[in-house]
Amino acid sequence: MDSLETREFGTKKPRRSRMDIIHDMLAAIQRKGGMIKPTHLMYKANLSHQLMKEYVNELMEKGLMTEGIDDKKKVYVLTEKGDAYLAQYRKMVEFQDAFGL
Amino acid sequence: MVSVVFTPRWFYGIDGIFEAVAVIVALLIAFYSYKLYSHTKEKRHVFFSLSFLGIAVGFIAKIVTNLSLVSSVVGSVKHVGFFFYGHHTLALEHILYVAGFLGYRLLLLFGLLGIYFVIHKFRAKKLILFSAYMVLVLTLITTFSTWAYPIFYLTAALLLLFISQFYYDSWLGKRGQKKNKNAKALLNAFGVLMAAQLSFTLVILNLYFYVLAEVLQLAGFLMLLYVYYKLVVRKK
Repeated sequence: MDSLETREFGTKKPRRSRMDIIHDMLAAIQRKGGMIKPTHLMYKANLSHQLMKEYVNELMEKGLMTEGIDDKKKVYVLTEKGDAYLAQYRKMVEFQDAFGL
Repeated sequence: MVSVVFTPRWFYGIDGIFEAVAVIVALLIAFYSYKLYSHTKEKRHVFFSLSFLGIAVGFIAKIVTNLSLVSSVVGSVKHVGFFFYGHHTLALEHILYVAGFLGYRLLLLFGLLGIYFVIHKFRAKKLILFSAYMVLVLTLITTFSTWAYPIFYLTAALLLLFISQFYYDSWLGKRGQKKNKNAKALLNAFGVLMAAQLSFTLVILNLYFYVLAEVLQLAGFLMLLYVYYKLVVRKK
């Protein structure tokens, strides 16, 4: 799926917006069945360790994801609110693409 | 003083209901585009929102104008040739009619121009300003002319043709456009709206073209509502 950033033909793909990074992180968790290991999240969302920590703190504060334990290892879990956010984001991208914005 | 009402008598007020639907649909799209802007802070999203807001306010101006005009002439309407003429002497009502119709024409044309520039990703500010200036001048100089009515609807039809062409290209993935499955529904909606504007221009031949135009316009906005419902409301 395309991002909500400007996409123009013949130009270099622009940097991801904050919203796109949040989407990439939550989508990565969703694709992994609702929970993901921190290292996998960092890799899947293409983030540095420092940046991921900042985003994880923000997303947990907003209730979009939580921390959990799976097989004695730390995992991040997608919440219902995070799931709803992803659905909302996809609708926005679809609206933008349909109207050619 | 004479005001011309381009509508069959039995259709008085019904057109207002049809246009209220247009207002609701335009406001829904404007609101959602603004929501998009609040997330992305992309200027094109807020311009798209303002364009639909302009269209909505334009239709409100038309509804208010028509209702006040019809209520003032409905008791003294005569059928002469193809038109119903309502004779009344209140200058205030005439001013309201001119101002209301002028507001409707300006807002609808600016709204359509805004949509055209946003979807075609125009960035040449001077060209945008010049086009807006031309629309303003054309609308103002024809205000008191008998050509105001057909020129306005032909201009609106032309802008809708350009908008429809964008969605045609998008539907087929032509001219560098990314193929989009929803573009066909938008092409249909804007195409029907264009047909409505053309039908409005033919009102001078037969009053029933006004009814046809209003029905087509309603159908166009209902098609837009369907696209909105499909993209925003329906759960996947």
